[in-house]
Amino acid sequence: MRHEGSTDELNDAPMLSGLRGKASFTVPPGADEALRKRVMERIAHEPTAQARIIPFRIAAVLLPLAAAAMLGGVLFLVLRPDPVNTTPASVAERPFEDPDLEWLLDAEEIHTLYAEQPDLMPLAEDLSEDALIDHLAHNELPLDLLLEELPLQ
Amino acid sequence: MKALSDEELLARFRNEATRHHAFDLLMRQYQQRLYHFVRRMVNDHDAAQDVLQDSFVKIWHSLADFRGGSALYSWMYRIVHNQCLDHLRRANRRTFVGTELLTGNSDGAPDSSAHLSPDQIATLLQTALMRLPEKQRAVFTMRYFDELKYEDMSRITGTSVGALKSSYHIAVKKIEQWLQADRTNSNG
Repeated sequence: MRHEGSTDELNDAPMLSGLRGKASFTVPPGADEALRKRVMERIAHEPTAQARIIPFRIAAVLLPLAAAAMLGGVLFLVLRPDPVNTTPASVAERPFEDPDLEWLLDAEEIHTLYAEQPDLMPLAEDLSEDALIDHLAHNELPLDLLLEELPLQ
Repeated sequence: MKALSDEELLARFRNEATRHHAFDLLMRQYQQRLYHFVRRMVNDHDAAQDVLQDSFVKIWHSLADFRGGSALYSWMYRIVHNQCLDHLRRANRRTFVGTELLTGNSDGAPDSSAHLSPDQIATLLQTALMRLPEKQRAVFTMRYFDELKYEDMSRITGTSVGALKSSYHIAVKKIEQWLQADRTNSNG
């Protein structure tokens, strides 16, 4: 699974590049064995790992419930208010929900940034789209500006 | 001890008579690599052991359902990664290592890594790493330390390759800035 070409990404980071591969933690003697022993003790008292089969009588109750829950979910999606008419201001105020962008930066940081930067506000409308991610990934959006604006933690 | 292939391990695991022995072998083969990932995420040996222990118990319960759609290692990595995030969420903390560790243990400027022991370099990087948000820390650890491919990272995290590249790019910039700033402070 190791990727040989990943060093190119450190061209602009000479210190990180120089330290790569030189860091290692010292594991206390016996820690590996102790961990394996604890795990084996725990699983000895747990049910054996097998593909779980739901007994027929339970399935007879669960399956109609699951079908009802799915139907409820579909109805909710059909009947919920139209999200298209969302203003930039309300976009900035709503809870952060995009899992991709959550990886990119802290949700709080992004909303703080958008709230304070009128030039970046239009981007808030695209929060749920991959285009914004690609934009950031390819540096077309001023990444440096983002970095400068975000408080270093 | 000769390492078994994933297929051999899984075949032994599916046999009731050899299941526990197979699981012990599986832990022997993978626990150190997984430990280092967890240790970097939670920054504490005891907590790392607890997270890894819970992860292996989860793996034990789920391994019978593993169908081989991905490498066994990345499948386990995904479980361990989720356990780490759960642990950090539960603990609701972002552990900061004092900057005195950075300057106090490093024997001078961080760029002269030839003078630093592996433990000191680990401390130096860990100090910076713990300042990252948790998910960004996971991305950085997977790429910088474990040198995983973005495609594998995407399977592990359930996140797009583009987002991971951005996240890593930002993390590298931040950590480099912090290391540079610390070197300036040390020299000043």
